Amino acid sequence: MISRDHYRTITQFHENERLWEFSITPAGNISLWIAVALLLSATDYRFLVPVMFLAQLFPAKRLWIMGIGGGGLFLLKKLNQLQVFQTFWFAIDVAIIIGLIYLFYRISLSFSKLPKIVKSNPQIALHLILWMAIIAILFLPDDFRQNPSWVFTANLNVCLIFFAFLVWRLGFMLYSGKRGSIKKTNFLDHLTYCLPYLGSSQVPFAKGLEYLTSKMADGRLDLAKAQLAGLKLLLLALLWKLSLYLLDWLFFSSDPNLPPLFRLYHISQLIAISATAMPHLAVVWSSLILDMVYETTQLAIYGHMIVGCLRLFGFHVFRNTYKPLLAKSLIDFWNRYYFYFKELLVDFFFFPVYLSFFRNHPKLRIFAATMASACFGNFYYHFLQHFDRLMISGEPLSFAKFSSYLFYTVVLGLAIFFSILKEQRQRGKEHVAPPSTWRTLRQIAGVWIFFTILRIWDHGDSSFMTDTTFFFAIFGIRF
Amino acid sequence: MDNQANREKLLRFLNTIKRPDSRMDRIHDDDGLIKSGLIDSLAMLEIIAFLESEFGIDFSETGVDPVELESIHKILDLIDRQAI
Repeated sequence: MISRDHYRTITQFHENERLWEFSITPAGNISLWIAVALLLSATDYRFLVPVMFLAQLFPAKRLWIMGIGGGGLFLLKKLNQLQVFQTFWFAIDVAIIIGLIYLFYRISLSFSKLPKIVKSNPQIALHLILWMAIIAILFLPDDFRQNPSWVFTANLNVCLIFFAFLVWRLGFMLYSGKRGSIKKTNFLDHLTYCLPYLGSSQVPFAKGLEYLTSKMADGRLDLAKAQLAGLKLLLLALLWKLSLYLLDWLFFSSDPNLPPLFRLYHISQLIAISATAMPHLAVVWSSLILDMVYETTQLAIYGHMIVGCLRLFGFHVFRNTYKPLLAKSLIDFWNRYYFYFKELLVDFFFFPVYLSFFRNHPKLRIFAATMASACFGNFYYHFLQHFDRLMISGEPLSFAKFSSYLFYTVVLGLAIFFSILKEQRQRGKEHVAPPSTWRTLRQIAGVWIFFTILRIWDHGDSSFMTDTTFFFAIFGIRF
Repeated sequence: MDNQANREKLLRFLNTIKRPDSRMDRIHDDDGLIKSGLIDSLAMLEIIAFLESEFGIDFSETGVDPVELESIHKILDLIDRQAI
């Protein structure tokens, strides 16, 4: 029988001081890199292993190595995805994208000299420029078609997509300009997070350069701590991948030769099937809950790979998904589920509104800031992200899809606002006894059921009327 | 106001917003307030409101850099630099 202490020693191996010391010896270090190479060998991240190793050899140049190595891999991957691989246009696109980052680097360096209206609202100015570029493209022949016949338009679209992709990262750069910290940095440092091979979504993992450098390992032993913590995340990602195979085998397999033991459905399939013949409610509810677990596990794997690699580069950054099953309130779940997306919304929407409006009305202040982030910012982020999907997969912008997501964000915003108020009321109180296990389980179940139901309005084939009809149907109400 | 007085004022305030299951006496000035589990990330809002009202710090000019509010030590530095 494994005791609690043994279990902790195994699961928290990255906190073992003897292991830190071993991993800086030649044998320990070789073992570490063999483990990393094996864990990453079947993933796209394998190309990063030599870049990571180089960063370990030259820690003082870590940011440059990540910027040039990771940035180069990112551009190759992303432009390949967009199918613009003619050498000439590839070079032009890369030059424009790097040029755009450099332009904003120079603007951020000269932040104090910008016009007052821009200095007061740099993020609004940035997004206005992006929208002017989007509108300008609409006037060109072929505008946003997936495969425009005019090669010039095609490549202009690519650059615009990159601009939309980079906009939050450029926003962090402008914040560094506003605070003056950018003056201590070099242009190449900024490629590290602007062109992130580590995670190719619009959400900047580990935020901007200020945050990233504040988490940088200092010294060989500290680097070993970060690397072992990274290795642990890669192992966790592997474990979650295995659990996904198990879930597929048990419930979700779509392989006609290997049907699942008990057929359940992912949410889009479930809603599509229910439009014609509603499965038994037990199947519906089991599908909804287990699909939520499935999606959370996928997100955890995605985040663990990125954060794991960042730690291997030597940054003590937080996990993206951290034990969401333990969340006892809606706001706690939001913090644990997708940390860096929440941080993006907090940095670009919550705090700007919180600091600017209703200072003398605490509840109204929090309400406005919460709706600005969880509702408006969340919706706006996904709307901008759609330009990427439009170009890569041809998925059209549709009112039906976004109306469903708008409903999702309004409900989320309101729910988080009430959750914040509830948490605030409880903060500072001295608990005589910890809450009972039963009460804790009820809280956790409540959080999961809330998000499971809310996901009805947030899936790949969302349409407001269909989703809402389905919502009533799961409670036995049909019309 | 001197640094010691600011520190005591800050500690008294943190005591009112800390998580119910955490202990003030286990926190050192350089420990991360969130990382150590003393407060949750939401309590950051209350720290901001406290710094605005007690020390007249105006975050609307510079924005909020969470790194500056990470530990007792960093908050005291911020108060030193920006308090009116």
